[in-house]
Amino acid sequence: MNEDQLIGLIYDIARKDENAFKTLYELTNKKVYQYLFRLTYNQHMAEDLLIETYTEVWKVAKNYRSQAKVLTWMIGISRNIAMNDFRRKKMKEWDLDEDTAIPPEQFIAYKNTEISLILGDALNRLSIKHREVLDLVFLQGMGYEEISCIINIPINTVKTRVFYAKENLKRTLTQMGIEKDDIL
Amino acid sequence: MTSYKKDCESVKYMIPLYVRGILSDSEEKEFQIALSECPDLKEEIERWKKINNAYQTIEKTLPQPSNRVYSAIRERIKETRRLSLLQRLIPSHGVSLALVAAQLLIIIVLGVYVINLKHEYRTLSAPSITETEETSKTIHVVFKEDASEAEIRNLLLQMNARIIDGPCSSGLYIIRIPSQERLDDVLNTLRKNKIVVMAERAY
Repeated sequence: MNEDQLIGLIYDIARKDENAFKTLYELTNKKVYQYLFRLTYNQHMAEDLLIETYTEVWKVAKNYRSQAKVLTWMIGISRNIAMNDFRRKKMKEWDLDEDTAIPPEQFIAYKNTEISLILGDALNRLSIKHREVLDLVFLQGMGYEEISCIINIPINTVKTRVFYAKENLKRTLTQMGIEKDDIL
Repeated sequence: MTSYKKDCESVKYMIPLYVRGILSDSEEKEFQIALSECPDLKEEIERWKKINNAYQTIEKTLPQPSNRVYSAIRERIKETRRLSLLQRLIPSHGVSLALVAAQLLIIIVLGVYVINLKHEYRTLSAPSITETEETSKTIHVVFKEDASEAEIRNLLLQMNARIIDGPCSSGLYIIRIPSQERLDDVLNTLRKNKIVVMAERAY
């Protein structure tokens, strides 16, 4: 995905070019969907939010200013839509400002499982607030400045949140019956 | 030693980005220098590499959006276009507000006018007399049986009089004249007229 190409597409979409919109969708939908799916863990809900996000992109493309990368801007839009949806549905477990994690289960069968799978399970159990920053770094490949634009918090807060996420990951592993020295 | 520790701590936050390979060239250079001076960072790097590997595993298992999504987006966009066309046809918010304000103003003005309106009922064929019962004068009149309506009306118009009651079974009319008219003059005029049989002040 070339950033200049994406910016060009956004300018074309601002002039209501449907072909440009289709190309943008093809280039970006997987990344935006990954972000939304990891927020919701619900394919149907993530797809609905994806529809909302691209409809909004079509409407507000004329407002795009190239201070932020196109994907950062789009994920920011999808996050706002998701947060409004969660608030409307009063889904507290998806409150992105809350620190609620999924309670880990004691799980003996982890002993012969691959480290990546165990860590993956532990990552899925983190609170959305912590999982979100790690997802943005490792799934979306975003730096702290881009993350701060999306979440709308200072860069230093992003940095500390990333490290607290790792600390919580260690704690979650311990609660899952995994000795932290074995993995982290 | 303190400075050494401080430098190591300050680059620690760069480890996730380094492991993910998204540091800029200058940041990477700075990081490599710090790495050579801070052996503790290597352990931390190994931990973050495990997290990065876990994410690579997660990424492989993530679902993809279904085919229904794009067609649903196209539908939504069509709907948006229809709506924006409608918005162009319907006056803007500013114009709508001005229209509502104008309508309200007209309603208020009409309301005030109606409240202040004096209700006055007039017989179109008779002169307008606004005196009240107390300030006007009342006369009893009997006209000849063969007097026409036109003759009676003409006579009453000459004196600015109007019929307020009658005729009763005996042919008596009760008429009223404005207070400024002299009662005696009116009575004389009536009595001299050939169609009047009797004219007397009412008490």
